[in-house]
Amino acid sequence: MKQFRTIFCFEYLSYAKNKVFVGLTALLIAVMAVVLFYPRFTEGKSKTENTPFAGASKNIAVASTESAGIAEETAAFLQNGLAQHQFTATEADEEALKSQVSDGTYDAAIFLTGDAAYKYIVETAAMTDMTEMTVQEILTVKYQYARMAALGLSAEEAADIMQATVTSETVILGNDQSQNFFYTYILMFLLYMAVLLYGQFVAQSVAVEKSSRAMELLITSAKPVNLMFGKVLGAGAAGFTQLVLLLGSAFVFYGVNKSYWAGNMVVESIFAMPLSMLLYTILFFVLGYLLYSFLYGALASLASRLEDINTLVMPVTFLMIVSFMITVFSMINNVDNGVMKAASFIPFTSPMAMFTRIALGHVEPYEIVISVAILLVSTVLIGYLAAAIYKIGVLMYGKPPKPKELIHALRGNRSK
Amino acid sequence: MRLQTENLTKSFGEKQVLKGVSFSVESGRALGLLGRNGAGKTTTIRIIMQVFSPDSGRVLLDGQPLRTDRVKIGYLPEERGLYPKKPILEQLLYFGKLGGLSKKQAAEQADRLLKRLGMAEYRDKRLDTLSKGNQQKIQLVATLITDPDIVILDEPFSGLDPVNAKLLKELVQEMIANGKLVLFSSHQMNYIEEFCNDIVILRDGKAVLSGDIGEIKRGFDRRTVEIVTTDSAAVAAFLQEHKTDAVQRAECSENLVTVTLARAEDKAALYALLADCADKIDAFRVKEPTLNEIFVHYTEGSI
Repeated sequence: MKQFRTIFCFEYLSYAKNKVFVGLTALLIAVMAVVLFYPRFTEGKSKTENTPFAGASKNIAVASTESAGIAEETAAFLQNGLAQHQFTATEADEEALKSQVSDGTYDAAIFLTGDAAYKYIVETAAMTDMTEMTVQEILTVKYQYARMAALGLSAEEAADIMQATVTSETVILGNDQSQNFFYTYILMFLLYMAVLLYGQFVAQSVAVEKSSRAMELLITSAKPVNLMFGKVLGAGAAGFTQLVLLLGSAFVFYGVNKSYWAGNMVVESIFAMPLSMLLYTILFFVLGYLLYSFLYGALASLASRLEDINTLVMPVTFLMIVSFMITVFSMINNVDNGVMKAASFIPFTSPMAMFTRIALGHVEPYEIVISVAILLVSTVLIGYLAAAIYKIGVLMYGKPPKPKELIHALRGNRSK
Repeated sequence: MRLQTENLTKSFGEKQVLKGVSFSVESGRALGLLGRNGAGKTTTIRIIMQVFSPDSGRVLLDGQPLRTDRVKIGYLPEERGLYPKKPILEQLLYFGKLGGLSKKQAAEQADRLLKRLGMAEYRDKRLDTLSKGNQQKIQLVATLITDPDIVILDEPFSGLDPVNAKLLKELVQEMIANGKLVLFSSHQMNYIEEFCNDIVILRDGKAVLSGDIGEIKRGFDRRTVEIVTTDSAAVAAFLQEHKTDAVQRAECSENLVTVTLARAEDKAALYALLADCADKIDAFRVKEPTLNEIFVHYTEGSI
């Protein structure tokens, strides 16, 4: 136990003292600060220019097939609703309008072809140009009023009908996916990134010790199980510290700027995540990280050179990606589908799958218990298996062994 | 303390690396573990250090199975390795603590050994900023930091300049004098002869020779005779004139004639023969084989 503690502390401190690691943490916190403080400093400016989609003022011609009167009336109505543009009624026909738009006399032209139909003539339909949509809305309203007036309704009655809406209230029995979606996605993505990143750290650290031959001395001074668990838990604790710092500072920064974020549904929903979700994140982060890091450590011990690590750990990374993909695609449709149900009990996929189902789907408490129990037991077993592989792997130089050779070596070492 | 291996065997896959290795060594003595590359030296050492378990056979300490958690073993691996990017003192403390020392003990030991080897000024430097010879010395500090009872040195002199080699020699002699049990593996026979009382020669995974060096030398075929003389040319000419079947070969150097006899028993015949030119002869003695010759004799022809 003392030996484990020594290794754990050594590994933890080697991250805590690592300039890159510390720098990265500081950088991420700084980025978080910039993002979360942003509205505080931009507040004043953004209020004044509150016309996000209107764009620049346009000179728009309005003409009609019927009569000049209709064109004038429509132009006035549009001018009322879209004050920033200049609407001009003309008597030009369609061809004339097209050429006038082409040569730049007008930015666009509206050619009314009936009571409820028109052509919108424009040189270039820009992606962000919402003018045409607004024009359509206004003309639709105008048509609706005209129809109601024709049916004998007064202007007040018509306005009353147009403004009426049905009030509603949603009663949510399970999870509110629209509320939970964003923070679940962020937490799951964090889980994915953290496992991959810290798993790679473990792989790297094992391979560095092996290639620098520090292993020769380590393996004769300490038990492989202590080395493996100390290494994985040390890197994990360092990663965990980083995550806590990041999430902690995010919550603090948000707390300070809370009022400035009022009204931003996405950000508000993220920071309104319940404590239980945060605790589940920690639980699945810890278990998922351990499971994968043991595999990373074991496989890296087979590499003689640093260049071999990537090839060796590929299957594990792939497993992680698959489990991420399954979860993300299921999140969009139905998180409780058959694949997800199965995945939430398989140790390699359950950290993400079960976590997401708890957040967005419907799971019975006993299912969570079973899933976590399976994960826990497999993590411990894989930890010991990893230590056994590590013990053999670290002293094998040259080409990494094939799976068959490895199993053979494991058996040979065990039975004696 | 008496460290003993009993008939160790070990296979890796199809390949049998050890086919029965037995030897023993006592505290205050040094054992030279000799053998060509691939003879099984490192595997034997790793089995003693319990990195591998043997397929059969035992490692005993005073008759009881060796427990590495009960007795401190210091190991200088042939493949030197520490953390190149870490400060020296930090890693020395780490290895000290892994070996069971408290932080304070480890710091004291590191301090003492670094001073002893003249490396105290480098304690806060990164290992990879040191020269190769100095890195070796740091490696030695890591080996000895726990003040081990059993010291295993695998090729300790490779890469050391003569001054550092002398420093290490003194240290090894001091360890032996202090009653440590030293296991020494090297290809440099002169060092082995200098330190080791006992040797084991491994060949293809078998111990082909083991025992006290002096006894081994005495037990070796004693048919090479050196005649110390003031006039080696005359003695050689005399032997040429009086040819007998007993003399196989006579080689002449400045003041020495080395005679190889057909059989060790022919010494009397040669002695009698030389009576006629006795006034030219200062001494007549049996030449003991060097360790190098013994080593080559026992390992030649092996893979």
